[in-house]
Amino acid sequence: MDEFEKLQKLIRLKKYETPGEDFVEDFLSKFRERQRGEMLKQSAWSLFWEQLKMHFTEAPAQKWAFATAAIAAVALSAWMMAPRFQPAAELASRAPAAKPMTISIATDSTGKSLQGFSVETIRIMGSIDVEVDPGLLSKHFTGGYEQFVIVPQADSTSSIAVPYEFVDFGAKPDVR
Amino acid sequence: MICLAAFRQTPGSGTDHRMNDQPPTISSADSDRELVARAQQGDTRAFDDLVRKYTPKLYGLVYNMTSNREDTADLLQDIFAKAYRSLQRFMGKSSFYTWIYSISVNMTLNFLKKRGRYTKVSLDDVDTGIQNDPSFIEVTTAAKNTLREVNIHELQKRLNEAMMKLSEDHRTVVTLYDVQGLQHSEISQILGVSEGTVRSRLFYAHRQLQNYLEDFVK
Repeated sequence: MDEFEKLQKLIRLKKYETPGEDFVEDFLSKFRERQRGEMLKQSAWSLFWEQLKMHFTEAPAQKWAFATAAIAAVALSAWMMAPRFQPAAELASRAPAAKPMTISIATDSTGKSLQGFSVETIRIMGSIDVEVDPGLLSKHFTGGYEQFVIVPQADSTSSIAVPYEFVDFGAKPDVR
Repeated sequence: MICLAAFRQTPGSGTDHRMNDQPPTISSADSDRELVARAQQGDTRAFDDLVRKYTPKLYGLVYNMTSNREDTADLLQDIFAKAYRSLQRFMGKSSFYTWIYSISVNMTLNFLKKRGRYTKVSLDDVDTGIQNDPSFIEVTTAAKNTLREVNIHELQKRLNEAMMKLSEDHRTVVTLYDVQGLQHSEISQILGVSEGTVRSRLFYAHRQLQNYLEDFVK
Protein backbone atom coordinates (compact mmCIF):
# COMPACT_ATOMS: atom_id res chain seq x y z
CA MET A 1 0.00 0.00 0.00
CA ASP A 2 1.64 3.25 -1.08
CA GLU A 3 1.50 6.48 0.82
CA PHE A 4 -1.19 7.99 -1.35
CA GLU A 5 -3.48 5.02 -0.94
CA LYS A 6 -2.94 5.08 2.81
CA LEU A 7 -3.75 8.75 2.89
CA GLN A 8 -6.99 8.26 1.01
CA LYS A 9 -8.05 5.45 3.30
CA LEU A 10 -7.21 7.61 6.29
CA ILE A 11 -9.24 10.56 5.06
CA ARG A 12 -12.18 8.34 4.20
CA LEU A 13 -12.39 7.39 7.87
CA LYS A 14 -13.86 10.83 8.45
CA LYS A 15 -17.16 9.48 7.22
CA TYR A 16 -17.51 7.77 10.62
CA GLU A 17 -17.91 11.15 12.27
CA THR A 18 -21.67 11.36 12.39
CA PRO A 19 -24.17 13.47 14.33
CA GLY A 20 -26.12 10.44 15.57
CA GLU A 21 -29.15 8.48 14.45
CA ASP A 22 -31.80 10.94 15.60
CA PHE A 23 -30.20 13.90 13.98
CA VAL A 24 -32.07 13.76 10.67
CA GLU A 25 -35.56 13.60 12.19
CA ASP A 26 -34.75 16.26 14.80
CA PHE A 27 -33.29 18.43 12.10
CA LEU A 28 -36.34 17.94 9.92
CA SER A 29 -38.76 18.89 12.68
CA LYS A 30 -36.75 22.05 13.40
CA PHE A 31 -36.73 22.81 9.70
CA ARG A 32 -40.50 22.36 9.49
CA GLU A 33 -40.97 24.79 12.36
CA ARG A 34 -38.78 27.33 10.65
CA GLN A 35 -40.45 26.76 7.31
CA ARG A 36 -43.91 27.24 8.82
CA GLY A 37 -42.78 30.40 10.53
CA GLU A 38 -41.48 31.79 7.26
CA MET A 39 -44.61 30.74 5.43
CA LEU A 40 -46.81 32.42 8.03
CA LYS A 41 -44.76 35.58 7.77
CA GLN A 42 -45.05 35.47 4.01
CA SER A 43 -48.72 34.68 4.02
CA ALA A 44 -49.53 37.63 6.28
CA TRP A 45 -48.05 39.93 3.65
CA SER A 46 -49.37 38.01 0.68
CA LEU A 47 -52.81 37.91 2.29
CA PHE A 48 -52.75 41.66 2.70
CA TRP A 49 -51.73 42.23 -0.90
CA GLU A 50 -54.14 39.63 -2.14
CA GLN A 51 -57.00 41.27 -0.30
CA LEU A 52 -55.95 44.68 -1.54
CA LYS A 53 -55.77 43.42 -5.11
CA MET A 54 -59.11 41.66 -4.79
CA HIS A 55 -60.64 44.81 -3.40
CA PHE A 56 -59.63 46.81 -6.42
CA THR A 57 -60.33 44.18 -9.03
CA GLU A 58 -63.99 43.94 -8.00
CA ALA A 59 -65.82 46.98 -9.38
CA PRO A 60 -62.52 48.81 -9.77
CA ALA A 61 -63.88 52.16 -10.98
CA GLN A 62 -66.06 52.75 -7.92
CA LYS A 63 -63.41 51.59 -5.51
CA TRP A 64 -60.66 53.64 -7.08
CA ALA A 65 -62.98 56.64 -6.95
CA PHE A 66 -63.69 55.93 -3.29
CA ALA A 67 -59.99 55.48 -2.51
CA THR A 68 -59.13 58.71 -4.32
CA ALA A 69 -61.87 60.55 -2.45
CA ALA A 70 -60.67 59.10 0.88
CA ILE A 71 -57.07 60.15 0.17
CA ALA A 72 -58.23 63.61 -0.87
CA ALA A 73 -60.30 63.94 2.31
CA VAL A 74 -57.33 62.95 4.47
CA ALA A 75 -55.07 65.40 2.63
CA LEU A 76 -57.62 68.19 2.97
CA SER A 77 -58.03 67.51 6.69
CA ALA A 78 -54.29 67.61 7.16
CA TRP A 79 -54.13 70.91 5.30
CA MET A 80 -56.95 72.38 7.37
CA MET A 81 -55.34 71.29 10.63
CA ALA A 82 -51.91 72.63 9.81
CA PRO A 83 -50.99 76.13 11.02
CA ARG A 84 -51.22 78.25 7.96
CA PHE A 85 -49.15 81.27 8.79
CA GLN A 86 -45.45 81.45 9.25
CA PRO A 87 -45.72 84.06 12.06
CA ALA A 88 -47.18 81.33 14.27
CA ALA A 89 -43.62 80.17 14.86
CA GLU A 90 -42.66 83.69 15.77
CA LEU A 91 -45.59 83.90 18.14
CA ALA A 92 -44.51 80.67 19.75
CA SER A 93 -41.15 82.22 20.54
CA ARG A 94 -42.82 85.11 22.34
CA ALA A 95 -44.90 82.91 24.56
CA PRO A 96 -45.88 81.14 26.65
CA ALA A 97 -45.54 83.42 29.60
CA ALA A 98 -45.79 81.83 33.01
CA LYS A 99 -48.69 84.03 33.74
CA PRO A 100 -50.96 84.93 30.86
CA MET A 101 -50.56 88.53 29.91
CA THR A 102 -53.71 90.44 30.48
CA ILE A 103 -54.47 93.19 28.10
CA SER A 104 -57.27 95.55 28.00
CA ILE A 105 -58.71 96.01 24.64
CA ALA A 106 -61.70 97.69 26.11
CA THR A 107 -59.91 101.01 26.52
CA ASP A 108 -59.08 103.70 24.04
CA SER A 109 -55.77 105.52 23.65
CA THR A 110 -56.47 107.77 26.65
CA GLY A 111 -57.19 104.81 28.86
CA LYS A 112 -60.90 105.38 28.89
CA SER A 113 -62.98 102.27 28.85
CA LEU A 114 -64.70 101.45 25.63
CA GLN A 115 -68.19 100.39 25.99
CA GLY A 116 -69.17 97.16 24.43
CA PHE A 117 -66.04 95.10 25.14
CA SER A 118 -65.61 92.81 28.06
CA VAL A 119 -62.72 90.83 26.62
CA GLU A 120 -59.54 91.09 28.60
CA THR A 121 -57.33 88.36 27.27
CA ILE A 122 -57.08 86.89 23.87
CA ARG A 123 -55.31 83.63 23.71
CA ILE A 124 -54.04 82.25 20.44
CA MET A 125 -53.20 78.62 19.84
CA GLY A 126 -54.05 77.83 23.43
CA SER A 127 -51.08 79.58 25.01
CA ILE A 128 -50.07 82.80 23.34
CA ASP A 129 -51.51 86.02 24.57
CA VAL A 130 -51.51 88.96 22.24
CA GLU A 131 -52.75 92.44 21.98
CA VAL A 132 -55.59 92.99 19.62
CA ASP A 133 -56.63 96.09 17.88
CA PRO A 134 -60.08 96.74 19.35
CA GLY A 135 -61.23 98.32 16.18
CA LEU A 136 -60.31 95.39 14.11
CA LEU A 137 -61.72 93.04 16.68
CA SER A 138 -64.85 95.02 16.62
CA LYS A 139 -64.93 94.75 12.85
CA HIS A 140 -64.43 91.07 13.14
CA PHE A 141 -67.35 90.64 15.45
CA THR A 142 -69.46 92.84 13.39
CA GLY A 143 -68.73 90.76 10.40
CA GLY A 144 -65.87 92.75 8.92
CA TYR A 145 -63.56 89.77 8.95
CA GLU A 146 -65.36 86.55 8.72
CA GLN A 147 -62.63 84.06 9.43
CA PHE A 148 -59.67 85.89 10.93
CA VAL A 149 -58.72 88.11 13.79
CA ILE A 150 -56.12 90.73 12.88
CA VAL A 151 -53.28 90.69 15.39
CA PRO A 152 -50.68 93.47 15.38
CA GLN A 153 -47.07 92.32 15.64
CA ALA A 154 -44.72 93.27 18.46
CA ASP A 155 -42.95 95.87 16.36
CA SER A 156 -46.35 97.54 15.64
CA THR A 157 -45.46 97.86 11.97
CA SER A 158 -47.32 94.84 10.72
CA SER A 159 -50.25 92.63 11.53
CA ILE A 160 -51.08 89.01 11.02
CA ALA A 161 -54.35 87.26 10.46
CA VAL A 162 -55.05 84.45 12.92
CA PRO A 163 -57.82 81.97 12.16
CA TYR A 164 -60.78 82.50 14.35
CA GLU A 165 -60.81 78.92 15.61
CA PHE A 166 -57.40 79.40 17.17
CA VAL A 167 -58.46 82.35 19.26
CA ASP A 168 -59.79 81.88 22.76
CA PHE A 169 -61.54 84.98 23.95
CA GLY A 170 -61.96 83.81 27.52
CA ALA A 171 -65.42 85.31 27.61
CA LYS A 172 -67.65 86.08 24.76
CA PRO A 173 -67.34 89.79 23.99
CA ASP A 174 -70.37 91.86 24.29
CA VAL A 175 -70.49 93.78 21.13
CA ARG A 176 -73.09 96.42 20.93
CA MET B 1 4.61 16.09 -15.17
CA ILE B 2 4.42 15.73 -11.44
CA CYS B 3 0.74 16.45 -11.62
CA LEU B 4 0.10 13.82 -14.27
CA ALA B 5 1.96 11.22 -12.28
CA ALA B 6 -0.10 12.08 -9.27
CA PHE B 7 -3.34 11.89 -11.24
CA ARG B 8 -2.47 8.35 -12.31
CA GLN B 9 -2.36 7.48 -8.65
CA THR B 10 -6.10 7.85 -8.32
CA PRO B 11 -7.64 5.23 -10.58
CA GLY B 12 -11.30 4.52 -10.04
CA SER B 13 -11.34 6.79 -7.11
CA GLY B 14 -14.64 8.11 -5.94
CA THR B 15 -16.37 4.79 -6.55
CA ASP B 16 -15.27 2.42 -3.86
CA HIS B 17 -15.98 4.03 -0.56
CA ARG B 18 -19.55 5.15 -0.66
CA MET B 19 -21.63 4.37 2.35
CA ASN B 20 -24.87 6.07 3.23
CA ASP B 21 -23.84 9.27 1.47
CA GLN B 22 -23.70 7.78 -1.98
CA PRO B 23 -24.18 10.03 -4.98
CA PRO B 24 -27.49 9.45 -6.72
CA THR B 25 -28.20 6.80 -9.29
CA ILE B 26 -30.49 7.38 -12.30
CA SER B 27 -33.53 6.13 -10.41
CA SER B 28 -32.59 8.34 -7.50
CA ALA B 29 -32.39 11.31 -9.86
CA ASP B 30 -35.82 10.41 -11.23
CA SER B 31 -37.31 10.25 -7.79
CA ASP B 32 -35.68 13.60 -7.00
CA ARG B 33 -37.28 15.09 -10.10
CA GLU B 34 -40.66 13.86 -9.01
CA LEU B 35 -40.20 15.14 -5.46
CA VAL B 36 -39.01 18.50 -6.76
CA ALA B 37 -42.03 18.79 -9.08
CA ARG B 38 -44.38 18.04 -6.19
CA ALA B 39 -42.55 20.45 -3.88
CA GLN B 40 -42.75 23.16 -6.53
CA GLN B 41 -46.52 22.67 -6.53
CA GLY B 42 -46.57 23.32 -2.80
CA ASP B 43 -46.34 19.78 -1.43
CA THR B 44 -44.25 20.35 1.69
CA ARG B 45 -44.07 16.60 2.39
CA ALA B 46 -42.22 16.12 -0.88
CA PHE B 47 -39.69 18.73 0.22
CA ASP B 48 -39.45 16.98 3.59
CA ASP B 49 -38.46 13.81 1.74
CA LEU B 50 -35.73 15.72 -0.07
CA VAL B 51 -34.49 17.14 3.22
CA ARG B 52 -34.53 13.68 4.75
CA LYS B 53 -32.60 12.26 1.82
CA TYR B 54 -29.95 14.97 1.52
CA THR B 55 -29.37 15.89 5.15
CA PRO B 56 -26.78 13.15 5.81
CA LYS B 57 -24.86 13.93 2.61
CA LEU B 58 -24.89 17.68 3.09
CA TYR B 59 -24.17 17.36 6.78
CA GLY B 60 -20.97 15.47 5.90
CA LEU B 61 -20.00 18.14 3.42
CA VAL B 62 -20.60 21.12 5.71
CA TYR B 63 -19.25 19.41 8.81
CA ASN B 64 -15.97 18.45 7.17
CA MET B 65 -15.55 21.98 5.90
CA THR B 66 -16.35 23.72 9.18
CA SER B 67 -15.24 21.19 11.82
CA ASN B 68 -18.02 22.45 14.02
CA ARG B 69 -21.22 20.51 14.46
CA GLU B 70 -23.31 23.41 15.81
CA ASP B 71 -22.32 25.61 12.90
CA THR B 72 -23.08 22.71 10.59
CA ALA B 73 -26.60 22.25 11.92
CA ASP B 74 -27.33 25.99 11.68
CA LEU B 75 -25.85 26.29 8.24
CA LEU B 76 -27.79 23.29 7.03
CA GLN B 77 -31.03 24.93 8.16
CA ASP B 78 -30.11 28.00 6.14
CA ILE B 79 -29.18 25.86 3.14
CA PHE B 80 -32.50 24.02 3.05
CA ALA B 81 -34.42 27.22 3.72
CA LYS B 82 -32.69 28.88 0.79
CA ALA B 83 -33.28 25.84 -1.39
CA TYR B 84 -36.97 25.90 -0.50
CA ARG B 85 -37.28 29.59 -1.30
CA SER B 86 -35.42 29.13 -4.58
CA LEU B 87 -37.16 25.94 -5.60
CA GLN B 88 -39.55 27.70 -7.98
CA ARG B 89 -36.55 28.98 -9.91
CA PHE B 90 -34.99 25.51 -10.19
CA MET B 91 -35.56 24.63 -13.83
CA GLY B 92 -34.10 21.14 -13.76
CA LYS B 93 -31.20 21.95 -16.10
CA SER B 94 -28.89 20.22 -13.64
CA SER B 95 -29.87 17.48 -11.22
CA PHE B 96 -31.32 18.49 -7.88
CA TYR B 97 -28.32 16.76 -6.34
CA THR B 98 -25.84 19.05 -8.12
CA TRP B 99 -28.02 22.09 -7.47
CA ILE B 100 -28.34 21.56 -3.71
CA TYR B 101 -24.66 20.71 -3.43
CA SER B 102 -23.74 23.95 -5.20
CA ILE B 103 -25.92 25.94 -2.81
CA SER B 104 -24.33 24.15 0.13
CA VAL B 105 -20.75 24.69 -1.03
CA ASN B 106 -21.34 28.38 -1.79
CA MET B 107 -23.08 29.07 1.49
CA THR B 108 -20.44 27.19 3.46
CA LEU B 109 -17.60 29.05 1.75
CA ASN B 110 -19.36 32.35 2.48
CA PHE B 111 -19.79 31.30 6.08
CA LEU B 112 -16.10 30.39 6.37
CA LYS B 113 -15.10 33.75 4.93
CA LYS B 114 -17.23 35.52 7.51
CA ARG B 115 -15.95 33.34 10.32
CA GLY B 116 -12.39 34.15 9.37
CA ARG B 117 -9.55 32.56 11.21
CA TYR B 118 -11.47 32.01 14.40
CA THR B 119 -12.37 28.33 14.48
CA LYS B 120 -14.00 26.68 17.41
CA VAL B 121 -13.70 22.96 16.78
CA SER B 122 -16.68 20.92 17.87
CA LEU B 123 -16.52 17.38 16.60
CA ASP B 124 -19.09 14.66 16.29
CA ASP B 125 -18.66 11.32 17.95
CA VAL B 126 -16.95 8.73 15.86
CA ASP B 127 -19.22 5.85 14.96
CA THR B 128 -18.01 2.66 16.60
CA GLY B 129 -18.23 0.98 13.20
CA ILE B 130 -14.85 2.51 12.43
CA GLN B 131 -13.14 -0.22 14.44
CA ASN B 132 -14.32 -2.85 11.97
CA ASP B 133 -13.39 -0.88 8.91
CA PRO B 134 -10.54 -2.63 7.05
CA SER B 135 -9.04 0.76 6.23
CA PHE B 136 -8.88 1.68 9.90
CA ILE B 137 -7.32 -1.65 10.78
CA GLU B 138 -4.80 -1.31 7.96
CA VAL B 139 -3.91 2.25 8.78
CA THR B 140 -3.62 1.68 12.49
CA THR B 141 -1.67 -1.54 12.08
CA ALA B 142 0.74 0.09 9.69
CA ALA B 143 1.10 3.08 11.95
CA LYS B 144 1.94 1.05 14.96
CA ASN B 145 5.59 1.14 14.08
CA THR B 146 5.69 4.86 14.60
CA LEU B 147 2.70 5.44 16.89
CA ARG B 148 2.63 2.85 19.63
CA GLU B 149 -1.11 2.94 19.94
CA VAL B 150 -3.58 4.72 17.71
CA ASN B 151 -6.44 6.07 19.68
CA ILE B 152 -9.60 6.74 17.63
CA HIS B 153 -10.07 10.18 19.13
CA GLU B 154 -6.47 11.08 18.59
CA LEU B 155 -6.79 10.00 14.98
CA GLN B 156 -9.98 12.06 14.61
CA LYS B 157 -8.26 15.08 16.11
CA ARG B 158 -5.27 14.74 13.83
CA LEU B 159 -7.41 14.30 10.72
CA ASN B 160 -9.44 17.38 11.56
CA GLU B 161 -6.36 19.44 12.26
CA ALA B 162 -4.91 18.39 8.94
CA MET B 163 -8.13 19.25 7.11
CA MET B 164 -8.36 22.64 8.76
CA LYS B 165 -4.83 23.46 7.65
CA LEU B 166 -5.92 23.18 4.03
CA SER B 167 -7.24 26.20 2.20
CA GLU B 168 -11.02 26.32 1.88
CA ASP B 169 -10.91 25.41 -1.82
CA HIS B 170 -8.64 22.46 -1.17
CA ARG B 171 -10.69 21.31 1.79
CA THR B 172 -13.81 21.42 -0.37
CA VAL B 173 -12.41 19.10 -3.04
CA VAL B 174 -10.95 16.71 -0.47
CA THR B 175 -14.30 16.53 1.30
CA LEU B 176 -16.24 15.99 -1.91
CA TYR B 177 -13.80 13.52 -3.42
CA ASP B 178 -12.19 11.62 -0.58
CA VAL B 179 -14.81 11.75 2.16
CA GLN B 180 -17.99 11.84 0.09
CA GLY B 181 -16.82 9.87 -2.91
CA LEU B 182 -17.96 12.15 -5.71
CA GLN B 183 -16.46 11.90 -9.19
CA HIS B 184 -14.23 14.61 -10.63
CA SER B 185 -16.93 15.49 -13.16
CA GLU B 186 -19.55 15.87 -10.43
CA ILE B 187 -17.26 18.07 -8.36
CA SER B 188 -16.52 20.13 -11.43
CA GLN B 189 -20.25 20.75 -11.97
CA ILE B 190 -20.87 21.59 -8.33
CA LEU B 191 -17.98 24.04 -8.06
CA GLY B 192 -18.39 25.42 -11.56
CA VAL B 193 -14.72 24.84 -12.39
CA SER B 194 -13.04 22.56 -14.93
CA GLU B 195 -12.17 18.97 -14.12
CA GLY B 196 -8.53 19.93 -14.54
CA THR B 197 -8.89 22.48 -11.75
CA VAL B 198 -10.52 19.86 -9.53
CA ARG B 199 -7.66 17.42 -10.18
CA SER B 200 -5.05 20.08 -9.61
CA ARG B 201 -6.61 21.16 -6.30
CA LEU B 202 -6.80 17.55 -5.21
CA PHE B 203 -3.18 16.95 -6.05
CA TYR B 204 -1.94 19.88 -3.98
CA ALA B 205 -4.33 19.10 -1.14
CA HIS B 206 -3.16 15.50 -0.99
CA ARG B 207 0.45 16.55 -0.99
CA GLN B 208 -0.18 18.84 1.97
CA LEU B 209 -2.14 16.18 3.81
CA GLN B 210 0.68 13.70 3.29
CA ASN B 211 2.99 16.09 5.10
CA TYR B 212 0.58 16.77 7.93
CA LEU B 213 -0.22 13.08 8.46
CA GLU B 214 3.24 11.77 7.77
CA ASP B 215 3.41 9.50 10.81
CA PHE B 216 0.22 7.72 9.73
CA VAL B 217 0.93 7.26 6.07
CA LYS B 218 4.59 6.30 6.09
